[in-house]
Amino acid sequence: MTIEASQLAPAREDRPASEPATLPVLQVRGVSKRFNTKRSDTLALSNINLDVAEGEFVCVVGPSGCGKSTLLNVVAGFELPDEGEVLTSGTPIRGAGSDRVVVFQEAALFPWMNVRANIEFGLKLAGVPKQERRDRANEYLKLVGLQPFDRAFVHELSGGMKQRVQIARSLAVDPKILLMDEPFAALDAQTRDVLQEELQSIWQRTGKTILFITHNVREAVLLADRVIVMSPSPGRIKREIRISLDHPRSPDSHAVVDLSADIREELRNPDHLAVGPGERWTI
Amino acid sequence: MSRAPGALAATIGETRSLKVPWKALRIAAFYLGLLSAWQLIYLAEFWPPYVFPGPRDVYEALRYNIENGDLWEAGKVTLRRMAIGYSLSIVIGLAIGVAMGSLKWVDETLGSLVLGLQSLPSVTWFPLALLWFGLNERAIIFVVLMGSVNSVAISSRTGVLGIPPLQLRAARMFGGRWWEQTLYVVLPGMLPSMVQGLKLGWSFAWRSLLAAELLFVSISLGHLLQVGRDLNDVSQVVAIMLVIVAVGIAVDRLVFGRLEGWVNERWGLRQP
Repeated sequence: MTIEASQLAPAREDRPASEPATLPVLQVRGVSKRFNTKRSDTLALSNINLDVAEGEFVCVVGPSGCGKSTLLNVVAGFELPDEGEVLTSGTPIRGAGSDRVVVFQEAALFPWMNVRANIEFGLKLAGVPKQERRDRANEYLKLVGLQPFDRAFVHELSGGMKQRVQIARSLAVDPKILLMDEPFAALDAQTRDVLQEELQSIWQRTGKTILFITHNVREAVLLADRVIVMSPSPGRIKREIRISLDHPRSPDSHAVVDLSADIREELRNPDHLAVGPGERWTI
Repeated sequence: MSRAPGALAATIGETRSLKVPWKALRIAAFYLGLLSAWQLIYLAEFWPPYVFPGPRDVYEALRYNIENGDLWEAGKVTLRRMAIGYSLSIVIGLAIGVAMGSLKWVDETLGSLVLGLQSLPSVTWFPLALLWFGLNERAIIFVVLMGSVNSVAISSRTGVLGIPPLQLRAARMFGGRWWEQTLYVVLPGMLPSMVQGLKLGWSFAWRSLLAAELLFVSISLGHLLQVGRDLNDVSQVVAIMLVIVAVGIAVDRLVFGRLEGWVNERWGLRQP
């Protein structure tokens, strides 16, 4: 009996390997979400379809009320779609999970834990042994440049440092995809510039798949391989623009500035069409 | 944990050592004045000494109770009841309060009952406790429990509702079992809005216990008060009252003061 079972086990493990390796990390399939209140009935998301490939950096941009945050909440598993489904590596999601970790805009760290404990929190819940937790936390403290502050409490950190801790805490559990919900929107301009630069370098070093929500067009153009433009009422994907500029990019480079101005014009004026994929901006 | 930069810490230390401890001096002067006023009124003999004893009489009564061992015996019994009753009320109150804060239907049903029962003075549970348990420890611990469990439950409910939803959401996405979420996130997250409730629960428990002990026959702090009354010994009554106040202050400083300090340090709240 025992021998038979152990002989069967490898055969079962073989099967997933035969699946195509190109399966997108994230698939959003026909997702709709409606919010009903006493006064209004809003279609926050209308038939959203979106694939994100392994290692891709995708930014979702749009005016407030276009449903971009709702989309992130559905992907994170915090909210259920009314229609459609979300799959990670081909498997439908069931609620929130550590394969899709979110970096929130603010106030999502635990004030009763110091920086190190915050970073180790996800690992602790995953049952990672103590020594390995320490090592992993050290690695990610180093990645975000916060080693000297590992025993500091959350309230002692600046806004930018808090966001670094959130990034480290999220990456430490090695999620399939990192979800970022306007993570730099509450920061001052200088700190934002620094963190955008660091996020580019973190992404290049770790090769992590990232879905990044922002209302800042320049930020989207600066960071993303692909910008998804959403428009409101109902919240839908208007179009997507592939950005083939090399990383790291500078927020002041002509290509970034000109393309964001073009996209902003399109957001303001529906008749204007920003220069699209495969055209001027694909280098 | 030496987190403050050395130079800054040194500056603070220096200014502190040079400063006159005005606060301590003010407090000492106040109590010295109070004691002198007491002594003066006593010396003026508005009332006979057996009605209004002087500080010295009270001190003698206190020393007598310490030397014959009664105070230690009574104190031990009272504090033991307090420890058991208050611990029970924290465990039960937390469970009820967390349930009320997290589940709407519990809040609507059990919540209204808890609020209603809070209007009942705890000593009114005593007759029921005697009928149910008889004249024994269980009856008196029941009274302590009923005295404080409501305020612990209500403040736990407030505590759960006071946790920023984003923190709960962030915790949830990292997975883990429900008890891990409760132990690592919900319980510590509740603390800032709960400290006052725990304090209130303690003082309710303390009051309920002493009220109940007045009606009780075995040795305890409340019983020593009653003995003083029976013997017409005002000095003893005042001495025991002072002990009761002293225990209250000590617990407030040592237990709740530390808890508050910890919360203020972690959350970066200002010392009141």
